[in-house]
Amino acid sequence: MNEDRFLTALRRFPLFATLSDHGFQQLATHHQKEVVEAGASLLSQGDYRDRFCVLVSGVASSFMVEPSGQRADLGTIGPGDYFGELCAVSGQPSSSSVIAESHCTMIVLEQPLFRMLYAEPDFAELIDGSYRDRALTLHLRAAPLLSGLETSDLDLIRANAELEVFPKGTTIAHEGAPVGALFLVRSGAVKSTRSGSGEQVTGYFMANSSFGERAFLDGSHTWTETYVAMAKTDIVRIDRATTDQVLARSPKAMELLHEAAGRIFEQDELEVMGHNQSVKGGDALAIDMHRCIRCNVCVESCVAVHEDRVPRLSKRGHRVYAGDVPVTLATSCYHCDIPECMLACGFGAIRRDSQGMVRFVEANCIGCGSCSMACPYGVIRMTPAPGSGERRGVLKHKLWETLPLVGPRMYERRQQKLIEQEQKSDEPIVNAQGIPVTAKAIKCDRCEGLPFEACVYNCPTEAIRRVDPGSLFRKPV
Amino acid sequence: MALSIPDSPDFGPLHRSLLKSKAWVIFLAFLSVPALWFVFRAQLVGCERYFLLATGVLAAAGYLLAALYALRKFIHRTPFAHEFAMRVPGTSLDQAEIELGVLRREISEGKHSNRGAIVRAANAIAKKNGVHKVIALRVVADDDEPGGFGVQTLPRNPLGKTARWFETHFFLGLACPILVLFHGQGSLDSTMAIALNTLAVIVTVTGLFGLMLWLKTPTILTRLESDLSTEEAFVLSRSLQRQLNTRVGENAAARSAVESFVARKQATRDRAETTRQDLEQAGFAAADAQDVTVLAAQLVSVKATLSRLDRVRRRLTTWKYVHIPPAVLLMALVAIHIVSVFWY
Ligand code: SF4
Ligand code: SF4
Ligand code: SF4
Repeated sequence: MNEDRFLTALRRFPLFATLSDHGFQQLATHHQKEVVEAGASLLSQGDYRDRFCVLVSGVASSFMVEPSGQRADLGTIGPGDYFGELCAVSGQPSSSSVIAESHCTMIVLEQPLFRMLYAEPDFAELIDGSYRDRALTLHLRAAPLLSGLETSDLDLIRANAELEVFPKGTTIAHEGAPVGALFLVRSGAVKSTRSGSGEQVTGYFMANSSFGERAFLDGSHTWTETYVAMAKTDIVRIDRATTDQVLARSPKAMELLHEAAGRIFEQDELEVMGHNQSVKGGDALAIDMHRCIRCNVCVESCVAVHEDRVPRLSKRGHRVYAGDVPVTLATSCYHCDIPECMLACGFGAIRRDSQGMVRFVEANCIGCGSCSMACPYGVIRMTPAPGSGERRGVLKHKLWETLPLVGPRMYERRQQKLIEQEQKSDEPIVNAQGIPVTAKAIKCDRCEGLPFEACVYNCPTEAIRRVDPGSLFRKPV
Repeated sequence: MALSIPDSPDFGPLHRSLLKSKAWVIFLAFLSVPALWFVFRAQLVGCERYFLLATGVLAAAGYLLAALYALRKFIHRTPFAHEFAMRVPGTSLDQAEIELGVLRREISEGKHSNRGAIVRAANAIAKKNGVHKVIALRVVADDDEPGGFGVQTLPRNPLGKTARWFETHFFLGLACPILVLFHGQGSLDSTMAIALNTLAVIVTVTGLFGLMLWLKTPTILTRLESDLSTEEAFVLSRSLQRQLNTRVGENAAARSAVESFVARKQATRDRAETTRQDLEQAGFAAADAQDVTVLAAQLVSVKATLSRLDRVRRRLTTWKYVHIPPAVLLMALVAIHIVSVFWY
């Protein structure tokens, strides 16, 4: 197919038919075409792929593995159909897998392009519609609260459940208001608080948890707590009548509800991570303060492995206790479950890689600083843009420049020369989309491409190590 | 793809991981030579030369290895460590992981059942993507599926963690003076023997003293830092200094008043009052003079905290001045001793 015919065919797809001319022009210029053979994996359950894909020709099939281990077919995908919108919109890992059943051609929209088109209301409406449908279907299959229910009960719930998306900071249920439904958290996080002498945090609800069970178990009719979304949160809402109906006829449902009611995240465990109304991440760099001999090797190694000679690690951070050992959670990226930085970046300069790491796409970054302001943990720092003439102290040392006495002076002189050269050049520094770059955002990249994390690898006392932050606080539930 | 390092210990004191360390084996292996000699010396009459050679070689090798720890630590603070040059593009690691994912799926679908073929296929993927120096692939039996295999991706950790080197350094430091003593057969009849034995003991004793400081001082420091850590105090002092500079500007009289206040070790009420009056005389409005005095008083107190913390913190490094020079001297003497033995 030649390029014009290919684009005409694309324009006819319902998804792209409503795009503005400018939007379609952007699509035509920036999309990537991929051709795959039968059997190729296009998306894997659990992977973080923030690419949005549209099948142009061929057939693919979608399936998921349910918590019970059963494979559930979710149907076939044909020309004009799309997948990956759940990850692209929410930044969450994929809930299903897609495999090519025949030779397929598809177009891939990377985050910047997807975001650009998503800003168009008609495109966004279509995406949001299918997002709600698919998220609901997939969550009802995956939710632990519903696993093991009879098909008839599941069908009843499916017919009456709704998916609602709550932006960060919105109240989902008010203390004292009537309990109208059971709430299942699909993604995001919810904090519950009780009023009294000041606001008291009573629990956190993460993806795959639920709240509202107690009202059904003890027959209370009003919420005893207020529930607030700590990040953009997807909630599946099952109305009271449907829940009552299922509970009346299914002892298994009652058993699951009892279990879920006891499964609240421990009260204090995430308080440190949640102090900024945000959500914990999966990885923290923890420093055991009884072991740390303050030698600074960790920070110096971090400097050594980065071309720009700027450390990503700061040993300042929150102080917590693992038993009676004081532990500092160093300021290093947590690769959050819900990366506020990524959601705040309008240039597609932050994305999750397939392993769940939140990474910068340097070529796209313009240095606007939105990510730095959005990160609740103050992890992202802005440094002068490469080649902007302001990068004092960040030039890589030559070997002889590390010599005592003469070295620093030679380094200083070379640096000065470079700055003068850069200042003479009128060339504006631009990102991949041609937008002027004013600074560069940096954060821990976990020493990408090296077989170790330099700070952890080089600490002589093993004081610094990667931990799941929850493991520092969480008691068995 | 990022690779995290397994085998991190529990949180807790350093001596616990020293006691649990596998480097004990090195200590025992080194000491087994004199121990065996002691047990079988009756049968080994005439083999003294070999015993001397064995203890000498082991002691020299032990000291060399111990010195390499310091070198390794130093080189990893600079960009010149050879391991840092092993970096591969993140995209290559991602691509390798995608291809390994396909291989894993094929294994689960029963398309591969020969372990050797799986190892070859996995290694070929790593090699093709140029990541073989960074990741090691291990094919293991799948617990969930009898006869099935899993492919694990592990970081290569080429030189091993510095912490392992530290443990080895510690146990070598304990073993080597004993070997030196046996090497000289306990006699101190030559200058070289006296010098080597004395230095070996000094190096070990100062090392143990340093270790004791490493065990105790972080706990004390952490307690002192409960309100303000050294890093925070440092950042705060810089910020206060910047604010003061901005507020004082080019006013020379005000600058000198503030500087002489800030140079003090303590911010007394009298001194603050004098500074406030000096600032007013330098042309500051009453409210401004008050603000600047408060800022300066804060800076004095933060600097006092910083220097108190710094004094304690310095204990963690100053012991090296009595450890490293004798260690360097010892190495030099060992080298001279070896050369002289072969020379004569
Ligand atoms: S390298 Fe380890 S001991 Fe040294 S400052 Fe860093 S965390 Fe502390
Ligand atoms: S930069 Fe901040 S918000 Fe983004 S993933 Fe890291 S910790 Fe989370
Ligand atoms: S993991 Fe690497 S980039 Fe991150 S803080 Fe440690 S040394 Fe720096």
